[in-house]
Amino acid sequence: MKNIAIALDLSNSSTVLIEQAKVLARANDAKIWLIHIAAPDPDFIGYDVGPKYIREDRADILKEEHKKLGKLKNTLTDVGIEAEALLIQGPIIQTLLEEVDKLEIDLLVIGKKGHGLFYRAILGSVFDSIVKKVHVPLLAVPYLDD
Amino acid sequence: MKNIAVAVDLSQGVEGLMHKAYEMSQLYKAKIWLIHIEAPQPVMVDVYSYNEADLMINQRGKMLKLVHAQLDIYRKELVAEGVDVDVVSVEGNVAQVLLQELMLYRIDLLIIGNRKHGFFYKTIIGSIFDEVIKKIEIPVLAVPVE
Repeated sequence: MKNIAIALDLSNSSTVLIEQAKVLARANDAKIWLIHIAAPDPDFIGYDVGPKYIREDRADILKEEHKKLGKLKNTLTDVGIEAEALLIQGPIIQTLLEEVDKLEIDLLVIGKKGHGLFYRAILGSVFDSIVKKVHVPLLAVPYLDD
Repeated sequence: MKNIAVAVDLSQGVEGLMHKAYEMSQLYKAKIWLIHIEAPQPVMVDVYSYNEADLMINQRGKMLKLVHAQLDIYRKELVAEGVDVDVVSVEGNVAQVLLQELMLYRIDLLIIGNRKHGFFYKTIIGSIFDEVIKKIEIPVLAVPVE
């Protein structure tokens, strides 16, 4: 096992996934890829005064996510584990699976949240699709919603 | 991590699961539980003649013997590698009983095959996998098998 990827949504529970991956990375002398897929920019957001604010808002969110991801990466490199952070914009499932292929990932670590109806309808479908489509071993770690 | 369970269904590709289980048991110094759940025999047999019903029961007995022999082979292979192994074979609703057994033995990680298959598989066996993945409350390692 050379490359371990963690799919992160950057919620507070992300550390649970990182702890799991740490043990595996240490034992196998593997590199950890922290991957966060950000939603794509909307193609069209209108002609009114609004768009500028929306664009700035999106930029702020991305900056914030970038910072969080960097911090998480540092918690790994600080303890001597090789790590790389990736922030990519795109459709979540497709982009994630493409990266798993491209980076020749041997294990994908992913969070599995609770059973609420809202969760199942929106985010649960992402998890389900990844489980169905992924071609590498997948470690699904349950964690609580923030 | 102290207890790792492998959901064994004795189809092809189980060797891959065993290999992963061995790796994980070494890494976490854990015990391995080989868990096989057999779906219950259909209760309604009285439309057949007595002989036919008898034959069905006999065949099932033979099949269960084969299953247990195979489980024992896997157990011995792991024991030969110095792993602490126990075999559990239970009859019942597969997903439900599997989840119960995981609780009973305080399992910390479940290793299960993630099969890529056609329509028949998806409707019958796939639904067990989906149900387990959905309801389970411990980390799951889903290993793709052919």
